[in-house]
Amino acid sequence: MLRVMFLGMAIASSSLAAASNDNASSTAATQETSIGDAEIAHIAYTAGQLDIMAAQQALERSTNEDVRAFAATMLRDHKAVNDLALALVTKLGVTPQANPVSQSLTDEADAVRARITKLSGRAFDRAYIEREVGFHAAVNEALRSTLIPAAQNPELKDLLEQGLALFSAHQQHAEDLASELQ
Amino acid sequence: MTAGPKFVGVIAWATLAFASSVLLATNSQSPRIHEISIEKMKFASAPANLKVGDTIRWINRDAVPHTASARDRSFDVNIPGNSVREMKILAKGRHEFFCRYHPTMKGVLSVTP
Repeated sequence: MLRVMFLGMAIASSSLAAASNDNASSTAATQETSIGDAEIAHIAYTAGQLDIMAAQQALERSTNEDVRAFAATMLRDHKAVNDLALALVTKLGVTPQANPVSQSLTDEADAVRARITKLSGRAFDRAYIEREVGFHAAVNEALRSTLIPAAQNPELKDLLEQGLALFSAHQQHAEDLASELQ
Repeated sequence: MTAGPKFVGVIAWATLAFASSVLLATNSQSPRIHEISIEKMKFASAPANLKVGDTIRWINRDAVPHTASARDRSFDVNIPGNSVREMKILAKGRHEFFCRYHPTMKGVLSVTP
């Protein structure tokens, strides 16, 4: 078990800032959190599930061909990675542990989903894609600076590294789409 | 009348040279298989000596599906996660390709006749 400093649920607060104008004070506090493979697995899996839900929302609401294609890719890729994650934790006998970071991710994602569901057309597309840019940027930073260095099991570390490569491509894709939607 | 040793040597040399040239010509024209791997969201560099009729073996080592899709629409191959797909090169020229699912993934096939 490694003790690391989490900068106030940095993942959630920075990930959703682009799409949410909500006050981020609830996530601004710095706190020390113990993080082990069980917590890391839960954070990674939760992030994937939240992006799948965001993609499902986009597929229900957007008619933009490029946005729908992006959402379909998010759905397909995050499901593939989460299936691998589930298989790995089962193999390792690790039970993913809920923790403040994954809970904060979930709370923020719920808030953004509720907010942008009121939007339609181009406004929805832009909000969704901006959310995707911020979410992937923050998750990638967390993977790079905290989760991958903290992971103890080599197979989990490798899966996280694969995830970082994948989500970095997602981030770039989302940034390109965001530019096109301006 | 029998051939002298010198004459036999010339015949042998000529036969060997002819056989070698046929073998070289055959090798240079035989279709070949070239592997291009995909790993951590990147296409490996394509081989430089591609010819029409050769085969590209796409090896996807990522867990997620990719495509190898030519911008000139001369090919479009779906490659599921952790799988291998082959395609025959049908057209000469410079074919830029990308992954339709992940457009930041790009590459180029340069094909001679």
